[in-house]
Amino acid sequence: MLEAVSVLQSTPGAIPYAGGTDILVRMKQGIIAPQMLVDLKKVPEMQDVTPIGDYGIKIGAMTTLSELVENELIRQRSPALSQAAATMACEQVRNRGTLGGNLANASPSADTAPALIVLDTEIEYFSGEAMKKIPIADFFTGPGETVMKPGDLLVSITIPDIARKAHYIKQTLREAMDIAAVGVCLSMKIHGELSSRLVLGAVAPTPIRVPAAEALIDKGKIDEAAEEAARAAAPIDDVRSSAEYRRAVIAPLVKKAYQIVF
Amino acid sequence: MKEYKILNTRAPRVDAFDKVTGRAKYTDDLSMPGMLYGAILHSPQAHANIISIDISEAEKLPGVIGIVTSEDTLGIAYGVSPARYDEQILAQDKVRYVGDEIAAVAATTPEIARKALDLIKVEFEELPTVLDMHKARDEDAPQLHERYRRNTVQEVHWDFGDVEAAKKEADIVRTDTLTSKMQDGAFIEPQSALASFDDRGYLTMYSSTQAPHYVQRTIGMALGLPLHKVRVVKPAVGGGFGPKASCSTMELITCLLAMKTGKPVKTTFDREQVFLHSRARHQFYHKMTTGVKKDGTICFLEHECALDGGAYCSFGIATVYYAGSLLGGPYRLENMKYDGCRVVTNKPVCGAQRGHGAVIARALFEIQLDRIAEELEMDPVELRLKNVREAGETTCNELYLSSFGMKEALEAVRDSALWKKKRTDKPAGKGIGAACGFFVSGAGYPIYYSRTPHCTVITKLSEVGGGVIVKSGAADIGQGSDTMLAMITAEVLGIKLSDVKVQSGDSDLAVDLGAYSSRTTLMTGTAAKEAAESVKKQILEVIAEKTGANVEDLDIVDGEVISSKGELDIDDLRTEYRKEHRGFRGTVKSGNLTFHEASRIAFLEKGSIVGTGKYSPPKLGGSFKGAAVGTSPAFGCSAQVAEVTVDLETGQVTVDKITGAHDCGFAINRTQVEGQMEGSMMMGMGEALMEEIIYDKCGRVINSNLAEYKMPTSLDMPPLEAIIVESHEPHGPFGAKEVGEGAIMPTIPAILNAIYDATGVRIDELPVTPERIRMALKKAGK
Repeated sequence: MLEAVSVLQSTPGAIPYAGGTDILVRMKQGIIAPQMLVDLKKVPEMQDVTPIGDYGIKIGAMTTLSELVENELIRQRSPALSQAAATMACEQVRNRGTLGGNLANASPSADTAPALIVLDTEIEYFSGEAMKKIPIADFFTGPGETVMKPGDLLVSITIPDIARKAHYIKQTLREAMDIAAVGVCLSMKIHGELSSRLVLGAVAPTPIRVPAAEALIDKGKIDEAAEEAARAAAPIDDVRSSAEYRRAVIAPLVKKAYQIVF
Repeated sequence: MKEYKILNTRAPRVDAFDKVTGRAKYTDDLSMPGMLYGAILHSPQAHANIISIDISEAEKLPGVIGIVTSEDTLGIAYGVSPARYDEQILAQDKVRYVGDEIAAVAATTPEIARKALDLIKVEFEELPTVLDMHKARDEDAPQLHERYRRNTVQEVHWDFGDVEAAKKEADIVRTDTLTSKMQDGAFIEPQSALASFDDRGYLTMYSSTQAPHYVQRTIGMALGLPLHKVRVVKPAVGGGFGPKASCSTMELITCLLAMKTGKPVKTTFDREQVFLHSRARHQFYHKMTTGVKKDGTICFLEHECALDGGAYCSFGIATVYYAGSLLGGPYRLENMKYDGCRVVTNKPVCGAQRGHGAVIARALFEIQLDRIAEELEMDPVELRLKNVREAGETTCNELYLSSFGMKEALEAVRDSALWKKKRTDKPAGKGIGAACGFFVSGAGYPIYYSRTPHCTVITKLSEVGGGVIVKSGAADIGQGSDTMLAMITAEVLGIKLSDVKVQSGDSDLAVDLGAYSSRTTLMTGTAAKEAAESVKKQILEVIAEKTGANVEDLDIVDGEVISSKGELDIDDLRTEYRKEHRGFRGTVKSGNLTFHEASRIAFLEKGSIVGTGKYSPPKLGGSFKGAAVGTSPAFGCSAQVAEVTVDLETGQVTVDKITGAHDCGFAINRTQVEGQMEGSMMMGMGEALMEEIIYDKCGRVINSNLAEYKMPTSLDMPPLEAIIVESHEPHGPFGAKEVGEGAIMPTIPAILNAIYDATGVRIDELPVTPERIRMALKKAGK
């Protein structure tokens, strides 16, 4: 990893390369023209899926999306992440695309992000000369932008050792090969107080948590929570959907997620 | 019914192994020594005058061998309909849409060719654009072509029967509208062409086309070459659906580059270019007023239509005629008025696509029938059954229905889908809808005025004996026409399918107008039957003479010559055959003379044996203006029932099942008939629910890729039931007629009628996305 970091930091125009499912497309379209691709697929620190305590997991950034779908440990401990990954692209792309790539790419509609945010996941990335660890909710700063600077490297993510039940709903036009028009992910703690987490994807510059709606859900006021979530969104019109439609479906999707989780 | 050995079975396609193993060669798989790569400079402007084109920097790039602009062309206008030739190979002084071709480069690598495009400098004078077909008809709208006043390429005004009188008889009169969007053909294989030009002036082009014949003619005309020196060959093709049915600008450019450089040149579209070249489904706006009596009898239809076809005419004249004429069936509609127009706008050019011109008109009419049934409190299937035509009838626009299993098809889907039960007994959000369709089985007239046979087939006996080679110009574009030709030939000759070799899709072999308007099975199938019958007759005549039998008593069955009058004396013939084949392994075990023996002996006696067949339609249609469009020697018809679940909160539609029945006359290959039906349902479902070319305000396509241009995936497809109805068409080979396009007709309205059944809201704009449903529900206070 340190070798990869040193190459990235010392070579102008070098960018990290994981599955290539975004980078290669953009290169072919002439949108980016990197001078060097630093292939991270075999970096040891970025590989493994390891359990933490009874409920937590640490997942290396190079874990493929297919692995998120199929890995038994991930399926048992954070099924919402497996479920979110399974909605992405197609089998061939999932075999190449990685968790780290999906997060570092920071698309507002990234499917893995909401599932990880509702699990209070932390991101470990190497920056400058040291590893840093931050809550994933603080990781995204805008469309395509994160707290990481050029030369930084996303190494792994850690889902804490707290039992949570979660569900991700992705609103798309078709069943596969589609990007979320709206994503809704809801979780609650299985033991003790509910302490729910509600995250919306594709309706703001980054995936957003809606604490006000979470508080209402914790009080059992789901209708009000759903309305609150719709108000919190700042959707845009794009090729996939209008802002008006995006806002209109948030409330019903929050209610659906609630029915499934609770 | 006659028992067939090969026809009406599920014989595997003759190209099945090559296709599934990847051995099949498509145009882009081909290369030639010294071959160059072509690249095309497309206009970034939707409407502009070209002030200057500077290719000097591009010419200096090492690896660039040739560059062409309009100065390298003869300036001959071309297009699809001879009366509307309005295209130039390369833009002369004006571009009319984002994508219009300006210049092209041939270079030693594709990368160099593309890089050279960046070095070509074009100076434009921007012109105001018009992107909306209704605004394009305004008096002060920007004019695309001098010749098209108010940007109108063609108007149609038809008035059959007496609509005004019929209005007085109608108890219920409804007016509705439907607007669709431009669609993309979205075939899996982007267009590709490889052209070479030799020192004797012969041009050969391999191309991903549906119509080698029309491409040959257009190349000859636009490039000034004698037609007999132009050869167009169609390798394996990965789908066409209409957009590959005319000569493309890219094909002409590739030939031009090959002629200029003297080297073979290959050009292959990327996916964005497929969208820019388009030639796919027009955008349609329909307004229909339909009147019926209380008992459900249809009295009249008053129909207005406008088509947006992008910057040039292409197939547009035929499209606007089809949009009106094909509502002549399948119902008893004696009074029909039609006013249609086809308009040009600064957008990529539309042409023909599966169900040419008729799909959206059919959709609205079938939606109207449902709305009328609701007002009459009548079952919509019963309303249709009350009005369907039968074989032997002629429509108000003079289309003769020589076979017509419409009633059978509708009853089949009604019963198989458990229509009555599901219609009355369903939970919230579930819906079920039905619709019918009607389509030509081969256009009755060629695109250019001619009494040319629509196709010829030359079947040659292998001189060495044992097999035949079918030579045809027909274009197998994945629909399976090669298999159809082989099956018909094998059936007629009484031999195994594996002993028939088909060579097709080559303008040097025979003439064939191509794979469009659902013509190949009826037309080329008839010619193949005639050719095979001739070959069979010639063989049997020799055998009769040699054995002293009467030729009328002889037949070939299961690869053996048999006589209805007992055993033939074949000893001398067999001895001769054996002597010829000394050293060959395997001996003839049959007591009868085999086809191997008979065919070889026939050759020894007569030399090469060739049978020819042709198909020319009888004189068809009425004498009114435009009567030729919509005529056909036969008509297919189909019915479908769609079942849907709609999420009333998000508007998401799940199609749960489609049950379809299609009258194909007679199924030459049952699996292929079902395949066409299923493909049609899939394409119709995409058009109903998802597919839409989206433009920005500058006329650029913003979803010119298969990620954002949404079509159904395999995961979106519901179970499909395909019921084959066989009405035995007298004009088709063995009773066969079309299935390729007719089967798409009912899909859109069946789904839309089901969505209404589920939601109670009508949506008059396609595609019916979750967003449009949600907004319609909101508007209805639901």
